[in-house]
Amino acid sequence: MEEGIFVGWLKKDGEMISNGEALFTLESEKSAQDIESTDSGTLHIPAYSPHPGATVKVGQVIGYLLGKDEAVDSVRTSGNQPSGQQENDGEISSDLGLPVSPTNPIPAKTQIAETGKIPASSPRARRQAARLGVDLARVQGSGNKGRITETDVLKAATSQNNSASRDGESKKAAVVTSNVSTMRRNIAERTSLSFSQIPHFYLHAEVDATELIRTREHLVAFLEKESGVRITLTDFLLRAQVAALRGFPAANAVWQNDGIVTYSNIDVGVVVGLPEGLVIPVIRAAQKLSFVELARERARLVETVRQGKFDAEMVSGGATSISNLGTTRTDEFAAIIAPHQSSMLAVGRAAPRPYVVKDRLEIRTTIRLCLSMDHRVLDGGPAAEFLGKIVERLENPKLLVEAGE
Amino acid sequence: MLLIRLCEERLAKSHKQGLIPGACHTYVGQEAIAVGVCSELIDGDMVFSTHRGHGHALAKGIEVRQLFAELYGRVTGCSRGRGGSMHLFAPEVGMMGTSGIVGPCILQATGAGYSFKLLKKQNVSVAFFGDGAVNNGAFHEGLNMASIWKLPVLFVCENNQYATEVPFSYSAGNPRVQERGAAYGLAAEVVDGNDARAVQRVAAEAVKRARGGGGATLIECKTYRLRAHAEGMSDSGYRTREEIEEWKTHCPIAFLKDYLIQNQIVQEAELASIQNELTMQVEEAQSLAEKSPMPAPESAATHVFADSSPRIEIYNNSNGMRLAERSDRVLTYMKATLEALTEEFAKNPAIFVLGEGIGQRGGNFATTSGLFKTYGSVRLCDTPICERGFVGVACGAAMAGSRPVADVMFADFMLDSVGEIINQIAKMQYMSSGRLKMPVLLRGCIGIGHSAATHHSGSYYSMYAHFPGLRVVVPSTPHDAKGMMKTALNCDDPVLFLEHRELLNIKGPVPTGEYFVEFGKASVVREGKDLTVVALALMVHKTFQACEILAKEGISVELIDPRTVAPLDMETIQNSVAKTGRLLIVDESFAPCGVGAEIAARIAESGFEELDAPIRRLNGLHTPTPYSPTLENAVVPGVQEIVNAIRKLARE
Repeated sequence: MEEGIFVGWLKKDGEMISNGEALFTLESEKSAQDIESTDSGTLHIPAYSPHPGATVKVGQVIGYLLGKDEAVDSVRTSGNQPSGQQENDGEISSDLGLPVSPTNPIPAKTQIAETGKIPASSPRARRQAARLGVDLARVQGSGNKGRITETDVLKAATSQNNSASRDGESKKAAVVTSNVSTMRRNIAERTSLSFSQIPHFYLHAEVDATELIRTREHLVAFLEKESGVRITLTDFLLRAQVAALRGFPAANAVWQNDGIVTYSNIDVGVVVGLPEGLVIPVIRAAQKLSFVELARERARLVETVRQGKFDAEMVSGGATSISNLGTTRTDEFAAIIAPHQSSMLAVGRAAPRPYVVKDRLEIRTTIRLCLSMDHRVLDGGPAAEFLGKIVERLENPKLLVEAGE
Repeated sequence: MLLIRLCEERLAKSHKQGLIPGACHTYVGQEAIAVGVCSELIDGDMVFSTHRGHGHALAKGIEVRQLFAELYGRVTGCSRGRGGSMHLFAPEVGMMGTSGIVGPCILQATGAGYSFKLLKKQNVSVAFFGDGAVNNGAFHEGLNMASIWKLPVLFVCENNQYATEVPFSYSAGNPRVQERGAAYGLAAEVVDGNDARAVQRVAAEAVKRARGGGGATLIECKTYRLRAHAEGMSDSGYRTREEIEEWKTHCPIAFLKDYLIQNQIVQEAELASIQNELTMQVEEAQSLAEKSPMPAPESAATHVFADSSPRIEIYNNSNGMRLAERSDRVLTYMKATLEALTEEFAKNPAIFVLGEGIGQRGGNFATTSGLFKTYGSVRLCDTPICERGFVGVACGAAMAGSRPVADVMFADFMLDSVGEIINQIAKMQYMSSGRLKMPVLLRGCIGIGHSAATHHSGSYYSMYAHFPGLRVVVPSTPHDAKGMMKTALNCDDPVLFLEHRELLNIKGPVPTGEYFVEFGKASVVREGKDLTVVALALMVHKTFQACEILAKEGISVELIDPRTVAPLDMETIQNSVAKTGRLLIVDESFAPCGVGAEIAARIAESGFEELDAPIRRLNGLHTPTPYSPTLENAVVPGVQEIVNAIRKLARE
């Protein structure tokens, strides 16, 4: 036997292990077997220890058994030995200071082996992982025999999203040689997935925002005093989006498992830029919120996300999102749809531009919108109708503020 | 008689031509019996027949073209193509079906006789059966019951001397059927079955006796079948050519013809013209049948249950236990069902109860307590110990318009009547293409406890739910027991009402007003978010206790009681699994092919992606139920085992 599949640890990090106790499960070509410890000590499972389902080679270090008062560092100083010498079907060596593979020159009192195959996971966990774009190969399973459950996926989604800083400090001797943050990698995977799987098409519209800007300016101080929320143009955009979705339920749908799933609640995501990437928290049941409630919820989510306190639940669901680059010099842009959604409204800056009003050229403040749409869910005609409804509402901003809309 | 003969000969030809896709048992040689007996019947009288029933059907009045169309499998057939030769139904003319099973028609005719008595009708019922049936238990049980209750029934044995290919002289200890009447205290006659006038004379006396309240008569008609048991089968090896030729000389048609001509009642020419007319009628029927359309394949599953749901206002209640907690009146489970029965008894005079000790005694479990005094022995009918017999009687009684409740005490006893339940009661609505309703309520105790041992402990709901045509009801609370008993007594379908013996004395809130609990609507006994448990009957209560223990550990269990196994409310279960991702089925009964297996398969089929862990089952051991308390406890899931199973699944 040269390699096997690491199924999972049977003991926890820090646990006292006696000679003969089953330590981990290894799957060879023929069968899975529990590998017993040939020594005793405290189990130390390092960060780079294989994930369930990974292939491990004979002689690869996967963990340590530490003696009393022995730290990983002290083990590291002991002698090396060429890799691949252990035979024993990947069993733990009981010798102190065993050599390890070249990629990981840390000596081990005990080494354990292992994967590349996807670990066992529940159907529900797989569905959730697909929704959140979580890579199962990087999820630690907590279920029976290391099976990945939904909870594991939700936990992993959170840590993959916000563990960038932690990543940096613990990756010194890591097997993964990447120097990008988990969030960056996550964005890379999700946008690639989305752009390769969702057939995007784009619709553009220029909105006369003169009245919109005026309405906001008119209300902002009053509402801030009244309710403590400082309303932004994004709130109007969200409000227009929600109203349009309410009038056009076909757009409140996503492509899932070869079919269209239409949502009853209107959940809308807001793209929030962060120094290390971006996150799209989702406003729930936005159709039930008044203008001020919507603004307050938007503000709360943005704040939560900026503090890094979001979880997987907060970023899942919904059929559409808004990405507003209005504070930049960008006039217009096209966005990539979030992988679990079907559209994204990209909003450029509001600026004075030449605009025809009643056959006369005037200078008006306009905003250029671009709706990215999943062609599997809506075709051009209906998508244009949807965008039309958004424009119509933005050009009648008073309606957006009134209750009931 | 001639019409029957001409039909049979044409059908035999059609069979050879491949126009009849299934079996065809002809009546050639026996025509005098059907005609002789049926000539004495009037509208409202009912005939229950055998596999060799074309003659009975025609003599009772079904149209020739309906017969041909049915055998050709056409939608215009008397059973709309669902039955064929062995399931000819025309209840509108009193033809209550031919049958592929030997014996049950005797019990069904007895049951129809019971209905006539209950509903105070002057009608009679007739069971036609062959010599083969008299060695079957149904004959013994049916004749005995008809005798003790003095029912208006004619038991007409067509002794054609061979039960399929087994000679009656070999299979009968006493081959003189007529002599068996004395064993049951019944009037009995023997007659030349090939002499229509003789048969008519005997039948007339029997019908007169029956209508006059003098009870049933057994008539043995000696006859002979001139063709093979069924068309296309070999007719050799068990009887001789000579014997057949000899009997051909005793042709019942020629016999009557000779009589009519010799006595100058009709002229030969007249008979010839009748024959021509009938031949044309048969040819016309056959060509019409051939042109008739086949039934639409998409209609294959219609008529399994009664078309219209009963006209009852369903109590809008998705949560029996919790809702019941709001009521302040408390009853035992048994009192709750008794109250339902008492209310319905007063409303509907067609309801009657059959069973051992349910009369004056009021039932072994007080299921009918107090009713006898008000309603008497016809509506509370104590039976001999013959479950097959009285369940068969219930079948026939329902076919004839009453609403029987067969109270078998322990569901284990019901197994003796499984043929009547599954082959007859469950299939009758379908085979009659929905023209017969089968409001039969079969009730009995299930469940392990009290060291009742293996003949008083079984739970059989999974088995019955396997078959189409049955409603299988397993209430777990007094509230549900009453509401579901009310629904059962208003439902047009057969209902298995299975009551866990260990629940009979539990007390629970029961609202005072009239209410119904709908079949096929599960009760969410307890809401939770970590795990779904489906449990039935006593297991609902044990699981509830387990949930209370686990709640203290922070495990939140959603407990669902389907309440009916057929129909099974998968929607509620699936919605719960969508919420929790985990499913455990706790079932006192056996795991293999059980209700848990069904639920697990259905969730795996349509809720796979909701699952966060394997579906688990906790069942009673797959063993007969032992007597000794230590052994008994070992075969049934207890609270601690349920707690352990839930804990384990929550961690998976």
